Amino acid sequence: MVSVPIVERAVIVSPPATFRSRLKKRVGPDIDGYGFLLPAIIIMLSLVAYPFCLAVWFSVSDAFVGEPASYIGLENFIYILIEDDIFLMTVWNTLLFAFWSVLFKVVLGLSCALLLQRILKLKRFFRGSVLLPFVAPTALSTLGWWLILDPTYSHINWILANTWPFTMFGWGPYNFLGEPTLAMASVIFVNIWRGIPFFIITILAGLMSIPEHLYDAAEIDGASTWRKFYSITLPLLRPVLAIIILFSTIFTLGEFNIIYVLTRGGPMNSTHLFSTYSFTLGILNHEIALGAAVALFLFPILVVTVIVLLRMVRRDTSHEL
Amino acid sequence: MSKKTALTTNKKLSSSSSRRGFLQGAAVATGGLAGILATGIAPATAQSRELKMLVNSHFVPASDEELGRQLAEFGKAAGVKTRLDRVAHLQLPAVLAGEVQGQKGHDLVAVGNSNPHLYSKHLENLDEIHEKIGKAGGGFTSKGIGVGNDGHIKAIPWYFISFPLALRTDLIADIGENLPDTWDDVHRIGTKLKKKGHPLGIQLAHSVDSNMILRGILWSYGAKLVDEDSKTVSVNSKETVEAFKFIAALYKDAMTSEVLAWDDRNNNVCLNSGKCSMILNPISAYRSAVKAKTVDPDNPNLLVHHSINHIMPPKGPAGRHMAASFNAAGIWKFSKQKELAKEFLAFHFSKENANKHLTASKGYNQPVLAGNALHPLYASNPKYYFAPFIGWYTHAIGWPGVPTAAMATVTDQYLLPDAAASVAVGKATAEDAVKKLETQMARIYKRAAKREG
Repeated sequence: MVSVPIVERAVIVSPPATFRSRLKKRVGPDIDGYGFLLPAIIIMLSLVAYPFCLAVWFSVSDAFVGEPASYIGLENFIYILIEDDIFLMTVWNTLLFAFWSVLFKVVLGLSCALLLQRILKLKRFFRGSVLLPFVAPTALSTLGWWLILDPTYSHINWILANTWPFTMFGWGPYNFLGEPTLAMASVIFVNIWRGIPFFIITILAGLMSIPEHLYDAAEIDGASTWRKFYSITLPLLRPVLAIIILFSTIFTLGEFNIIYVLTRGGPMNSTHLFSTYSFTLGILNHEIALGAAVALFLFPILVVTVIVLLRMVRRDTSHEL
Repeated sequence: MSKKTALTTNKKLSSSSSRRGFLQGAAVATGGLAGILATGIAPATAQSRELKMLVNSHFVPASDEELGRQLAEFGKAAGVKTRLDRVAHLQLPAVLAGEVQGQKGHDLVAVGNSNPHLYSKHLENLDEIHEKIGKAGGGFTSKGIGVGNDGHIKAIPWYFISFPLALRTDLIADIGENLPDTWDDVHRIGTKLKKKGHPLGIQLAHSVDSNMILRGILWSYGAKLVDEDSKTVSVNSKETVEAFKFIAALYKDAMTSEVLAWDDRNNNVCLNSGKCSMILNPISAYRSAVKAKTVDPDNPNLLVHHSINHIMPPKGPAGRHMAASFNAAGIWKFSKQKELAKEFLAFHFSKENANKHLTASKGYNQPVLAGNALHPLYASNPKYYFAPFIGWYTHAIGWPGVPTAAMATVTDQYLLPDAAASVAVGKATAEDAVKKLETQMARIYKRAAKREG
């Protein structure tokens, strides 16, 4: 009888490799991690990637409600860029709207957060109150502003005309939603009012996380309040600021409700943004392809914003304190 | 048909004899309901069928209630289930688009101005029933409503909501003037009343009213946005320039800048609050004043609605014209109940049912059928005396052509109000604004022509 070596016998009796173990061997030891990621990947693909790809397809097609769509290349983009004068106004309006809104939200948000940090009495009340504009549904709160800025019976105009000391100055009445510059200023103002709580609360959280001993050390060195703000507060807040500016820019560029309720893009298209004009073309005019093309113009602007701000965040968080 | 079954049918429908008559008449023509009426028993297959209708929520809820009642009554007689769905009027275009895209949804749908043209491929041809209803109702007061881009009737003209001149008779009497008949009268009276703190109110803004009223002014001056062929843009004319100059003068002399931001509600508020002397608006402003019992701020003893009246829209050098929003009823091609839906249309458009619908709407649903225009409701209140006649001067947005998809785009982008506003505020000359409007319209019509082949 031929004797079989022990090692060979051991190989023969070992159980067959399972699918999981074979996969693990192939992919590496992180296979479980990928498994856990799978649900999130499926959700991302179905809720983000699919609609995005569909929008890209629409923008390069001649899609019209109820009609089969076919590929037409960049025709829609060329059309809105060269022939559609309202679109060119919309680009300018959107940039103006986003720039001023975000700028004011940063400045006012930072100022309010610094104030709130110092308030010790009724701290919870004040911190809770600033969230009110943020928690009220946008359409509802904008309806309130619609009445306040009403062209015929604006509350502001009434106060200016009937309340001391404003009566002394003879201000108003102002056509807040009927004059192009004032209308743009009004929608920017409402957007700031609506978005500022997000800035205040996030910046406040950032302020609370700055170690107190840094200020103590600066105080011992004789640093002024401004110097402490410039050399300690602002640099340490920069990552937080970058993230909220990023989010706010994305939300502000895509603003729809405020414009739709207050001006519907008027007067004379002076407040049309990408979202409202895209809605007009895509839904009201049934030109799905044109609507998608207008909406996609937002994409490169957002990509540049995201890259710049994320680089800023990485740079600021790549070193230890 | 045996005598017994016929009697059963009659018993079943005895609550509404003329409806029965109409149903039977329509059934003879269409054949579908005849069998059911003859036997009085709905076939077993019918019991599981459902006739679904989609309309926009009416400003007067009783109008929808009456429509629902008629649909249920029809369903009971035909032995089918019925369902009436309502959506907010601003949501209707999106819901219609969704149904067309998905090729499923309701059987009968309310369609506005240009929808029959836009959804031409997806709506059933209704030429035959249109002709019958038109003949029975004394003809339609407005042409081109419900016409598809292939020239066939895609929806039955239902009703329109007109734009008479709503005015404060007391304020006009105070300055020793008569009620205005022409646009020049409106300009003269408006100028005087503005000086007394009671301006004229016509929206030059992104609103439906603005789109309608400004078209009316243009047409009254002999201008037109497109030719009769509904394809050729013909807005660049000396008539349009004149009309724009007139609008600018009207704005400067008789209105205030607030009209640049007005929506469809603001002019109602302006009239009812006692500020405005004249607006062009459906009867909703008057009805709101009645409901709210608004008091004139200058005369606490006067309820504003007592001094509000409606008269025909003013006349211009080219006659009296006004635009309005027209509603029509269509049947989707993908519907599985097309014949039944047609029978319901015949049932609903019978004089008796149409009148009930109009009464329920408190007069809002102004009939497009000449025979229904002289409804007793309009004779019951002097404020409504204009109503039976205004239909003859009222056109859809594409006039003198039909309301097309391209014209809907021009309307939804508020190109005309923006052009008129730019002239009114001095941002552009009338000539430049007309030229720009022509360029914008030409681009839209070119694109539509390319799409429609």
